[in-house]
Amino acid sequence: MGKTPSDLLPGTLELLILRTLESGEAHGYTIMERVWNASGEMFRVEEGALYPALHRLELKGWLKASWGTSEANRRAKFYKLTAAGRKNLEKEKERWRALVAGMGRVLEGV
Amino acid sequence: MRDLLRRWFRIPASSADIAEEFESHLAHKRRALEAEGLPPDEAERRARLALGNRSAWIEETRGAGGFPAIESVFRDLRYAARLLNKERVFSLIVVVSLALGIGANTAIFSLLNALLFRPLPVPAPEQLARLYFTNLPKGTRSWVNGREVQPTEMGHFNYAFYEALRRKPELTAGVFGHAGLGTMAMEHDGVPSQIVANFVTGTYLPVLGAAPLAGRLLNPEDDQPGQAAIVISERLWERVFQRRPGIVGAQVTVERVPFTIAGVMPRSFHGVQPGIGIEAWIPYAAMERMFPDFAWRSNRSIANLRLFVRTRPGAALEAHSRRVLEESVDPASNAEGREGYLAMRLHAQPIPTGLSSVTENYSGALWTLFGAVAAVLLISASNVTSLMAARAMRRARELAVRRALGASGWRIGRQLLLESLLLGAGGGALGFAVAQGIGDGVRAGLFGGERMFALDVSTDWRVALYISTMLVAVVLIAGLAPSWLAARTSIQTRGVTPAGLRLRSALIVGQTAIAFALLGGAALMAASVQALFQEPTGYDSARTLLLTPDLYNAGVERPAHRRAYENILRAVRASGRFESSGLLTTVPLIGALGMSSVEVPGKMDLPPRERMMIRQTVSDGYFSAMGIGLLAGSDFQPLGGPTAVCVISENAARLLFGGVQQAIGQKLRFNGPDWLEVAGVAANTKFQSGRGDPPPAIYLSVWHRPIRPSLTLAVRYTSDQATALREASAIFDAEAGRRVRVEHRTLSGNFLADVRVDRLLAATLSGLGLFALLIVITGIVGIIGYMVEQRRREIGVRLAVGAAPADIRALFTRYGLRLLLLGTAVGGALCFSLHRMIESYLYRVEVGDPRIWAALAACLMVAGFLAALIPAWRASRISPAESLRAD
Repeated sequence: MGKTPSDLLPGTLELLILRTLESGEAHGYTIMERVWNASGEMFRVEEGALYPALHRLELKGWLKASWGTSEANRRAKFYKLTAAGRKNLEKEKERWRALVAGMGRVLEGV
Repeated sequence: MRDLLRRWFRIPASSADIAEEFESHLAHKRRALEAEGLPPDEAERRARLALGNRSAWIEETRGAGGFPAIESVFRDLRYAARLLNKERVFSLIVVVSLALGIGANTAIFSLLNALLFRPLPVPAPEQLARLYFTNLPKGTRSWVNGREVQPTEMGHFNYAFYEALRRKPELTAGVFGHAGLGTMAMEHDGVPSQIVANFVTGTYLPVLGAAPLAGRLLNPEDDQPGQAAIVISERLWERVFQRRPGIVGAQVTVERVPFTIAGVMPRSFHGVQPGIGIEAWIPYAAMERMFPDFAWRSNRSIANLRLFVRTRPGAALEAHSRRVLEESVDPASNAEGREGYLAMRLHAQPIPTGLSSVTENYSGALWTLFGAVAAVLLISASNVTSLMAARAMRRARELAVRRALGASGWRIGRQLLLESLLLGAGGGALGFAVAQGIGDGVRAGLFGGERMFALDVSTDWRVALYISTMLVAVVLIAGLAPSWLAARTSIQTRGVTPAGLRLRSALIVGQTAIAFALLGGAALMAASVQALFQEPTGYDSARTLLLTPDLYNAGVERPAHRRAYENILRAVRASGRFESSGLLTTVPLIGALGMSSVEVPGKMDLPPRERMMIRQTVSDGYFSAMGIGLLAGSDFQPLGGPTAVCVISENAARLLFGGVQQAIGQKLRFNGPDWLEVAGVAANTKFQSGRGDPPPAIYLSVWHRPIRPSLTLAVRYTSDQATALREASAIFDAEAGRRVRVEHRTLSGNFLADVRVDRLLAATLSGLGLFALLIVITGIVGIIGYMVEQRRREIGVRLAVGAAPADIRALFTRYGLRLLLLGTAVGGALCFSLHRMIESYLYRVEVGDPRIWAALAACLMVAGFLAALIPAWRASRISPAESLRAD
């Protein structure tokens, strides 16, 4: 069983979503699957956490949502990175790398 | 765009949107599970399980990152609206009382704004100043409302002064002026109409910097003899010419003198005179064509120009005025007059908002009204506060429970503030709606139906600012007071009794004080109006009509007027339709006045001031037509009799000759050469207005001197007014040979117009005072009722152990009376500090008349006692057993 991002550090879920959308727009279910697959079936995003996060990011202006038709030929809401979202993704990535590096140093005890 | 707005206001996606997304996700998940090989119903079950409860999901998603405050504010607002709707009577009282306060304030403020606050719609109005003299020569006299006042300044100039000032551009950036304003007869294509016209100097329009709507302005070249340009207003263009194109260049006659329309001024322009709807501007020089009897421009004894300047920064106009005075002094005046003229000091007073007879005569009354309506708004606001506090007290338990359950003080306060916001918005909207009606009523009351007045009361930013400031203040005060009370609520105290009761009691004291002041003003004004109506004017003229025919504009040349009036008088008498008839020059009680210093042999030691008397010119029959008794001697002889005689009033006879009988046969004269013999003594009458004592008066024969341009015919009729008017008009028409325009008046009508402002003040103050009293009474009923409720148990116990019901009643009525007494005392202090606002309107009533104030205080006490008695009675009827069981 994978971990849900809430077990991880705060802000991780949003970073995962933004990263997932870097390769193109997607609807909620696809995002879930992409995270699952991309993390080597390690992170499982719960629906109950995914959608509030998507809406939060939309209100922040990092994502733009629009209704379209999915690969399953159903109506679905597609989310797309905005310019602001792209910029923040870069910032978040930097932050994450710094965090990982810092954690690494602590754990290695160098 | 919508996205942007949504993001800006952080409004979460709609529930429907989220629900659809939920369904979409569900479908995708089901499809994926089915693809893994699960049967459809199992896939469905697992998918639903993963997503959980749909509505909880929607709520959670919506809550994400949104701005919860707005959401909950809407919820609070809905709650407030529902609550107010539940207590409809309460809401209605509050909204109506607020609407009255706000409507009345908006109306009066709009009038004041139009008259006093709004700068003239011309470029750089702050540079405009009016000129006036101080240090006036001794012996300058002035009358206001029939009372002589000592003048300290004079704002009239001769034309030479204007010209001299114009020749000195280093002193001002422009000088302009206007003279007589009046209703004149205009004719265009044979169609007559009456217009309000103003004579102006050629510099008037250009220096003001107004822009014409069509054509051009009048300029100094038009202000020359022989020129015939006139500029009309957009209002006249519309009223008489129906906005006909090509109006510029059209020919009209004004008072039978031909003019060419040179331009049209836009509606917004009203010259320097706010409140007056001028329809035509005529060059000053044209007065010489229209009224050729006087050399209007060259005769320096004629001072009928009001002058204004555009100030030049750094120019010491006042200091250099002596040169201008020297160039305009009347060469015909004697040494003393010359010295007095040169000694006058010139002043320039900035008037960015203009100046007119309307601002001079009515702004005092408007300020008084403004004070009154502001007081009423204060009462309305305190009433709302009190009612809100009362509700907070009734809801004390609910609020205490909500607090105990964890609602923050802020949350509860916000709830109450929102309720008062809703009430304020309702009151404001309704108030704004009734303001128009109130304003129209006040305007009608102030100005009567006179066409000359035109006030632009349109709402501008000043009015908007005033209204919104009022509303915000009311909402905040009314909302915060109960919030403050609510915040002090706790489960233990179970209520807000002491603080709330103190607040409401204080409000009632304040309301009583205001009601007392308003009713005091109303009582004084009512007594004053009553005194005005009761005091005899000296005329007995219930069946007398005063008819002023415009013979000149009906084609009768001025030299032929004497003959025409003779014929008219003969025809009126020959018709046999009138009991009596006579001619007069100055119509009484309309503010007009003719005065001269009289010479009496052997009385020349009296200073000229004391020999100054009213001069009225009449024909025989005047006294009987006006119902003035003759005390001695006789009336003038009918046409053809001797004219070197006069009739004098009783007080003139006593003043000049020591008695009524002694006056007969004596001689006197005005500044003419002929001595006049006193033929009769008439009873005293008032002249200029219904106020003041009848002044001493001398009546001359209308036939003695060249007659004035227009005379008035007084007829005492036996039929009715309409018939009398028709029959007399027929005689005028026959004499002129065409239709004559007739102005008709009655003395009682003149009198009513004279006391218009007094009656308006008396009526509005009474209305507002009664409204205030009503609020005080309901306030007392409310607060005592609340006290009774609170002490139900205690009263029950007292009654059970033998207290008399009367004692219980006294317990509560005493409290009500104490509040009123305190309020009356505060009101008395208030009146003392405000008495100047009304003093100048009072006639034969002392502002401190103890009878009026004592009666008023007694009335208030009785009203308060009765108000307190209603709940007190209920208290004394409490059944002990029930009250003890109730809790």
